[in-house]
Amino acid sequence: MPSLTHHLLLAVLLFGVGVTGVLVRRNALVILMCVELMLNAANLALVAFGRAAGHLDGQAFAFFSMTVAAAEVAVGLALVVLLYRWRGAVDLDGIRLFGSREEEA
Amino acid sequence: MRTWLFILLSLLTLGGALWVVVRRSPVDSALGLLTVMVSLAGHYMLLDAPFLAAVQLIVYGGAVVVLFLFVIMLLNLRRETIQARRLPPGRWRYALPGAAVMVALAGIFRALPLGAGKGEAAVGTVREFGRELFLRWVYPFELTSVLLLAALVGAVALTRHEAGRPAPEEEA
Repeated sequence: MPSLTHHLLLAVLLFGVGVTGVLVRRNALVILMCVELMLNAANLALVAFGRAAGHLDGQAFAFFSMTVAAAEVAVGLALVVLLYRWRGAVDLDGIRLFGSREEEA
Repeated sequence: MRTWLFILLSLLTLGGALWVVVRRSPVDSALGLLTVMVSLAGHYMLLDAPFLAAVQLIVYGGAVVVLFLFVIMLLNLRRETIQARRLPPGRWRYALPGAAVMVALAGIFRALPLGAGKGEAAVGTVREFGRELFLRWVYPFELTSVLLLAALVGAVALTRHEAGRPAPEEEA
């Protein structure tokens, strides 16, 4: 019977993989996916905590977190599309939004 | 039975997550993400949260992953972009902070006074959850509609072609 500890361990591992992906990868799409992994790890921890505490607040929090994540994906993917229109690629390396234009070239 | 299911689902979750991170093609990453989402729905079932499992499948497994795939297809990334160049050597040293985050979080959770709750009770039939959602959480619930509308309008406003600005294909 998996306990709270087991679910938390899984959530921690999933979150860590997400952090690693965000830091290591360069493709904006994959980085967004890794952010999703981290959000899902948080959701899993919320549901596990809620079950251990014996009430539904954890589930309610996870539910709202899912809604926010859905909105975040929509806007994030719109930004990726914009980035592609602007640069013709979705690699984030070498992009300096707040730097001078000369530095980019 | 539940233990074996948990182990199987956890292996699927972590395997899918690693697949997202290590595969070079974004399509492969999206399929790894799908694996993670579906196996997490299984975890929610194990945690007595059937409603969240359904929402997880519909929102993440359905909408979010399909949206990712849709954007990948829409961007029509050329082969050299899809089969992205190898990561430069030494790039994986950035995995160290990820490992550090894991250790730190595990330490925090270990330090928590867990088990102070009412004990693991089977809560969360869909009926109870709906009651909770529409009584206690009804204002946040209604506010999410505003949030979703804002995201919708924002996404459309961001990606709309501005008049007089050529598409990148024409520039190239």
